[in-house]
Amino acid sequence: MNQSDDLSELRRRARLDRHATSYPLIVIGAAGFHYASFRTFGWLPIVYGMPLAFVVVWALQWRHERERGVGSGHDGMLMLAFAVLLGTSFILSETWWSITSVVANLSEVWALLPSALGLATLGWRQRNGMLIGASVSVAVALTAGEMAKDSYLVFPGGDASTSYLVLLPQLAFAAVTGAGLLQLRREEAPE
Amino acid sequence: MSASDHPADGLDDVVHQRHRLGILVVLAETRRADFAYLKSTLGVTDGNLGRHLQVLEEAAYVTVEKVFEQRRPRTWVTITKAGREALNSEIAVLDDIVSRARRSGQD
Repeated sequence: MNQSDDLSELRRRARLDRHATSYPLIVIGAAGFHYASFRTFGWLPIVYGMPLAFVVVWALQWRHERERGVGSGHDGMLMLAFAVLLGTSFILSETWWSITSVVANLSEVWALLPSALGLATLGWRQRNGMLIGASVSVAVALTAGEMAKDSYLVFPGGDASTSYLVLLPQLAFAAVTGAGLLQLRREEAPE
Repeated sequence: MSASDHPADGLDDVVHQRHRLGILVVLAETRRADFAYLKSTLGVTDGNLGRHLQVLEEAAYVTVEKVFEQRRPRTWVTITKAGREALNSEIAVLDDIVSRARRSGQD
């Protein structure tokens, strides 16, 4: 093995050890899955809930740092939480909806977009393809859900149905959480 | 090419050592790590790691903080901005050397 391979392996090991990928995917995926189940939001829960998910990731990494002795990196998680708070508040603000005709007809589910952008920022800072892929999948699901928002998936029996606007983002966030759980297994596997 | 403009001249003697380079790579990813984690990850002895950290600290590439946590001593090592810059510079020089070697191999 040459030196650059050694260095790449060291960096990969350190990234696995600090749970840089699994914690954000699991926590933000789970929070997004929860909020994606609503077509409309009461203003407060999502505005504070999604930023809180970033704070939870920060707290988990902080606890892990104390226990394992491996730092949480330069991710700026609390800054991201604040940016998500501002972004989500801005998207849901009355002023924004009333003055911006282009997005005025968009569904409130788009308030999840700042969280996806938060994941993308995290992925970009870490050069982490999984985090970037997760954010892209959520953005694609939001777009597809918006395009099919008047269509419903009718469950067998015909008694229950769900809008694709809800279903697609929920599936995307569920996939993000699932990927996070699989990644956690990899991170905790002995080498 | 004269000897003076060979990319190897850009290598930093403080960083260009297997274990010190490893320490900086780990810290660049984690920002900080404790002594025990660095020791197990790099597979070095206490004395060896201590000496390498001393060299890096004297070059201001890391800071070393000794604290007591739950009545136990713990040593935290944190990479500095200068340490990050030195690591990035080292990697750039190594990349340059490798790409030159590949080019000359193709000629």
